[in-house]
Amino acid sequence: MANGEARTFELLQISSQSFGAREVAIYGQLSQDHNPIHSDHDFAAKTPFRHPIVYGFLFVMPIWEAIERTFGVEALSSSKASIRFQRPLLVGHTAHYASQVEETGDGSVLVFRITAEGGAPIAVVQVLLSSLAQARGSH
Amino acid sequence: MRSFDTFQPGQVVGSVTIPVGAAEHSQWDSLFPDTVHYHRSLAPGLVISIMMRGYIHILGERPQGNVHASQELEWFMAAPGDEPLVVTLKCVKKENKDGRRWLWLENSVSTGGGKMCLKGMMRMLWAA
Repeated sequence: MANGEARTFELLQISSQSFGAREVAIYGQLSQDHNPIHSDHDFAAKTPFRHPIVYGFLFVMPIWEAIERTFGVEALSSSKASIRFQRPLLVGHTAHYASQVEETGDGSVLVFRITAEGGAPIAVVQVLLSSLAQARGSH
Repeated sequence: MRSFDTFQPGQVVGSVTIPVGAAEHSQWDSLFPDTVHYHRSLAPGLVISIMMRGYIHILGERPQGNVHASQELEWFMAAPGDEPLVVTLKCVKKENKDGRRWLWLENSVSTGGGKMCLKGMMRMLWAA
């Protein structure tokens, strides 16, 4: 692996992040999504999850933040991402992020696998980042 | 509340203009205090939050039990930090397969001047 690629990989490490009632409430205000499954324990108790769940977009947000910190505020312009939600993250739990660069037919893709405590997969995020393609093309 | 049957592929469901001001910046910064944003342009995640606000505003009450199965995102440019954003929701495709009601909804975010910032494609399992 070239030095530039190694540096990119290292900078994109995201530390684990917990999402409690505070974070869920703030995102609820921001998005105006007041679905009680995210905040109402009594309501959530009657669902298959039995516990309030974190907004899917919320636990993915640290990825965009990491990309912006690494590549700059324009990094995502002309970029594409796909998110596959696998299972919910319960409020109060911690999301863990693992990232790697994978080669696909479309080029180099940043792949983030998000897991909950115990390693249960909760989402896979693939980002086809124009900045990454440019960085790799220059080595 | 909109049922699955009311969605028509190719139809624009609605559009809404959303101002982004100090409250939104403050909420975002309190969620992610480690990232410095100078507010000349919006954090990508904040734009996604506004996209979802538009989706919720346009659709209103939604069936309980909807499942957001997957999401595609395409960024075109950083959203400016000093002007309202326009969110437009369009039904792209629907499919009833084995009793499961699937919807593909395109949710786009553009500036008031019509410059596209972000386009999202949600694949939803619609509960009603």
